Amino acid sequence: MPEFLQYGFMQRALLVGAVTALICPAIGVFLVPRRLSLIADSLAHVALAGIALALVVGISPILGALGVTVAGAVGIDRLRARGRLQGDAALAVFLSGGFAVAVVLISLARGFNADLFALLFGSILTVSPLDVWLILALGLVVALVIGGLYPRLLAVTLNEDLARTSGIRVSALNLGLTVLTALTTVVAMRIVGVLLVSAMIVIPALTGFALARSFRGALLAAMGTALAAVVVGLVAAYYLGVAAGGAIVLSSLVLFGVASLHGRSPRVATRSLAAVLAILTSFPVVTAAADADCPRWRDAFQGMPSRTVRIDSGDRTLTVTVKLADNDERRAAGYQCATAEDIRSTVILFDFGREILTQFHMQNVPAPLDIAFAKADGRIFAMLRMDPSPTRLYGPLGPFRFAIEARAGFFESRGIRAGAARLIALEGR
Amino acid sequence: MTPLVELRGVRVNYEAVPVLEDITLTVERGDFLGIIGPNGGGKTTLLKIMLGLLVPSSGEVRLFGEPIERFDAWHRLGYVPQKVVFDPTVPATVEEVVTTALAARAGLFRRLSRAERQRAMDALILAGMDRHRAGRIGHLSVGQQQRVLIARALVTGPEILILDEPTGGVDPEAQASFYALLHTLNREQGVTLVLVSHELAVVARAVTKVACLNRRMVFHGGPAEALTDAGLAALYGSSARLVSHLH
Repeated sequence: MPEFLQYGFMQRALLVGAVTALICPAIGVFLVPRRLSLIADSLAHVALAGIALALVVGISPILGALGVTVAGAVGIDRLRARGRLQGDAALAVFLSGGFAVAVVLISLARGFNADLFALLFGSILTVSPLDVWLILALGLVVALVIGGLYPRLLAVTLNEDLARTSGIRVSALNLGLTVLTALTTVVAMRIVGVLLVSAMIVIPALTGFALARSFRGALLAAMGTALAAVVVGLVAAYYLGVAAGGAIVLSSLVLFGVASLHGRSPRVATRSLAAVLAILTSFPVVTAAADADCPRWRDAFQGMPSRTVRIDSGDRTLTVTVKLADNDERRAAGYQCATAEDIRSTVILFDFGREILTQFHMQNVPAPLDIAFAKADGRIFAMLRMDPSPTRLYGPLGPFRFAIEARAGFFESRGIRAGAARLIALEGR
Repeated sequence: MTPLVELRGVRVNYEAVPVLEDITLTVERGDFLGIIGPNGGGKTTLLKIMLGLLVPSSGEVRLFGEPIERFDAWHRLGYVPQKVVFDPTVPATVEEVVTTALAARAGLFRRLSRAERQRAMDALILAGMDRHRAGRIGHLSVGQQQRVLIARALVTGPEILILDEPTGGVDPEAQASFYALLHTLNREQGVTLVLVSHELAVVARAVTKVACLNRRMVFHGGPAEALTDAGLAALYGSSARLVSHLH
């Protein structure tokens, strides 16, 4: 099994990515021919307002996005149906309005944080097990409705007047399609990010149109290329440490480029596709070699002595049990090849003996970490969120003697902030 | 017998300007009604009223005796619009286009039955487009697309077919065979036809009834009486003459 499949967060990301890849094009093929591609982008910005609201109120971002986006979808549909605002004007109002509400709410909630960045640009790390269930349920709803209404949706997409005079309730179907677009947006935003959702709805649909002779064929081809783009993009995001959403969308753009060649020269297209796939599948092979040292790192981790440290957060003093990495072998090991459970249940204190300048990598680490850096006098002066990646390096501006690694969110949940907190004392067992 | 289409006192205003005034019209079973008149005379508007695509400002519309707001037996009616040019970048096969006419009555999660595909095939044969069943609609000529739309309208086995300028952009040869097809449908299969056209001479030869429309209904009756110089003068103005293409 490739290394990346061993980690829960990658399994969840791939699962959610697959759902995204199947339902985004299934909506897209009905939106694109009717010049409604911008609906997805507008709803994604409305979703952002929902997320911001959820962060302020303190509920699940997915539930917040779901409620607000569905309400936005109904609003857009009503405005269009009544002809109060011309087609794209209604969309522009919702797009900028949603974004404005989001920005105001975010500034009320005191600034951007890592979660929001992940939602804007997509992250393979922020998908929690609860999210997976919500997204599977939403994806199932979208798939069932599209599957059930496929002949009607096709009729309306080809020509509204013909659909209406063959007895299809066109306005109800349009409302339904807009609401489905809202659900799809909420599903897709976890992996590709709010700002790139519409790309996932539009680009694979265009790819399908370029490849197929029939509409059904276009739908299947769109799903297939979207699935390929998601897998390639997520693997690239893992190995190169780049934003998942960008990687997925770029992959689907490459596939679209290849598909556009298909009409002119199928042979060139097939060869380019083979070359692209060969390059992309080489990532896991190149980095698989790193795993050989795992037993050594596990030994060093097991050998770290337990200590109790006290941290003054500014308001109060916390007592934290840590594993101490106090020699080169232990400092090199850190959480490499640890299990997600190890990361959940332990904290590592790195002591370098004196202030030095160095950086931390996240190779072989299965979950995101937070790291706090302290000067020789114990003053905690910097904190970083570190995402799993075989290539990225993390370090503070300035020298440090101590570093404390813990699961993502640990310091925030304990009220420990850079600049205010201090590592007080290192006690014996 | 109940008329298939019945309009009574229909009036349509477009931003307070009347487009149609006081239109009363009936289409009986077996009729082949040609609606003729100058451009801007309201022909297409009248068809849209008949089809429920436009709601009249006042007046009453009935289909098969039922007020149009309550009418739901749309499979009894086929509509061939004026030039739907399909987007060539969106793939759809001829068969997919034809079977959309069956969508409204399709069950959920049910694929087309063998019988339905056969009906699509029969309609395509009747329209002379069976060889193109698997072809892409966007790659066909305008005339071929028009025939596919006829097949689409026929696939539900309609009792009445409503056609809006069906031969626009079609070459004369294709036009002749098209009217032959309409003749077959009307005389042999008993399909009632309503046809909007500005091609007076051709319509006059084909239809059994004529409605002349220029915002008001100028004439409603048999084609022979309509196409007298007096009738045409009422429709188009005093200088109009029928320049005969009849050979």
